[in-house]
Amino acid sequence: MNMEEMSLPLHSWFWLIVPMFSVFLLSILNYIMSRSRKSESSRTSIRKDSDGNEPVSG
Amino acid sequence: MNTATVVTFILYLCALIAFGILFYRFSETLSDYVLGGRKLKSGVAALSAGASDMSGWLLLGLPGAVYAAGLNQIWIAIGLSIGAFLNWQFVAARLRALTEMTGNAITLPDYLEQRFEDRTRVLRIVTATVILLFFALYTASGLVAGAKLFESSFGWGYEPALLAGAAVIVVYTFLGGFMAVSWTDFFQGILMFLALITAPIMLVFFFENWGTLVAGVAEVDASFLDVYHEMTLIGILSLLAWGLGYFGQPHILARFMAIDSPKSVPKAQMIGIGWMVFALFGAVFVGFTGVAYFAESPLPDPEFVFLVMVQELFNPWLAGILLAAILSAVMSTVDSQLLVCSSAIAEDFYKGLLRPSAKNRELVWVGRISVVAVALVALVIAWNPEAMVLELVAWAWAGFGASFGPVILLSLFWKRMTLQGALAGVITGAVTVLVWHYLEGGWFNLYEILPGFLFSAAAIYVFSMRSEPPSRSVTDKMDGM
Repeated sequence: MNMEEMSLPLHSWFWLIVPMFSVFLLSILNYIMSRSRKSESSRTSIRKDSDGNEPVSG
Repeated sequence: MNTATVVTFILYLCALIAFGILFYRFSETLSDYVLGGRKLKSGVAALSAGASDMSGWLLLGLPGAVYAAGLNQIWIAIGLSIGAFLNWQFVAARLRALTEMTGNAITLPDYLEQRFEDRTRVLRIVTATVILLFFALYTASGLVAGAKLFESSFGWGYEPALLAGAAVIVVYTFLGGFMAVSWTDFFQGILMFLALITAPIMLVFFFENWGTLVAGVAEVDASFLDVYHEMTLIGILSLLAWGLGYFGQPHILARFMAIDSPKSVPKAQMIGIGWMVFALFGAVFVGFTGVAYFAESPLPDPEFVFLVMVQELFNPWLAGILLAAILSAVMSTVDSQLLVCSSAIAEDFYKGLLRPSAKNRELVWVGRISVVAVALVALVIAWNPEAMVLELVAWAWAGFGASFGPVILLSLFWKRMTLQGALAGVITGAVTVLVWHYLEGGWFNLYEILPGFLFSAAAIYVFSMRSEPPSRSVTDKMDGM
């Protein structure tokens, strides 16, 4: 039997891919933002301590 | 069943028990035994939450549903992934922080009692009782699923299979407590993930390309390609609403409470949601390809689509590992539920009400004995293979989601919430789920979790606003977050 190739309907593709991958991408984004907040607060601590105190490690 | 498969499987079970022995000495306090001393690393917390959440449904139920009905089964996967994301996003870090601030609460009933300064202890008793009742049924359903798997995989009788599965789970949970459970969950989660990624990859090669596969499915039933097929608005809302359950599931919330720091939550969220999304895709894909793969000889039981595929496509050693993955899915949920019940008995009833001055060693042993006791109760319920325990899972999920979900959420964000509001929320959620389940027709066909959640939230608001505002000491805790 000759099996022609087919594809899913567009709306099926949409609901299959968009919601679940969106939450995954949001989670990655959230992690990246938390890392940059952590780096920012480390830089702030080092800057504050440069007024005569020992630099804060990490 | 091939010898290689059996050997691989037995080695896997021995490894689980080894984890229990390894962590036996770790538990010096009840906090160690039921929450790992709040030292759980983000990766372990993430996969343990995911594996505890997803039971046999992920490798049996979901592929089976897609195999039997097509892609219109995707809605529950969408609802669950959104719900899990929101749970990590809004609940995880705050619950971790606030449970530590409220007298280092190690259980949800303990947290709620401290959060609302409930000197009557009613909230603790009500919530701990709800946990024990629902989880006894939920655990029984897991044991039934595990026994049926043993039965079909090894040709055992139902009762020996039930006892064997329960015995392995109880041994490592009894010995090693939360750390054994979390680390076994972690490796079980990896196994489940690998199984759900590997099988689809093999299947795509089997069909040469995606287009041929889709055509093969359409040959069987073209409506399987359509996510809207036979779906009503109520049907779609009901499946999406499963995501609401996350806010109230004690065994998942326990992972949030146990994580080593609120700052570890974003990384855990990324790992956990990534695991979940790819695992759900894999499960849907297995069911979908099963339609084409078994087109010539349809399966008598749709839920065995993954099991049969694994045995046909993979070499016996790998098949043993993948079989272990299926049982992992069941065990990783049952062990977490047993431990939550154990914590309810040891912390909320024994220490909370009977012996507040009990020493750590005594409490750890009460916890251990409770694991065995709850397992025995669940075994009695599960003894009859025809008992409709599997149908009760949806009800238990809704029960927890509606009675605990709004209470937990609002307790983390709303300072004005009172003890009376919390009690009203728990009771309203539970009663709504119970009553709505038995009503039929029109909007009553909606999955009971949605009205339960909404009515519970409304009850919390009304009863909180009609009662005295909380004391300064309570609101100060929230301000300290």
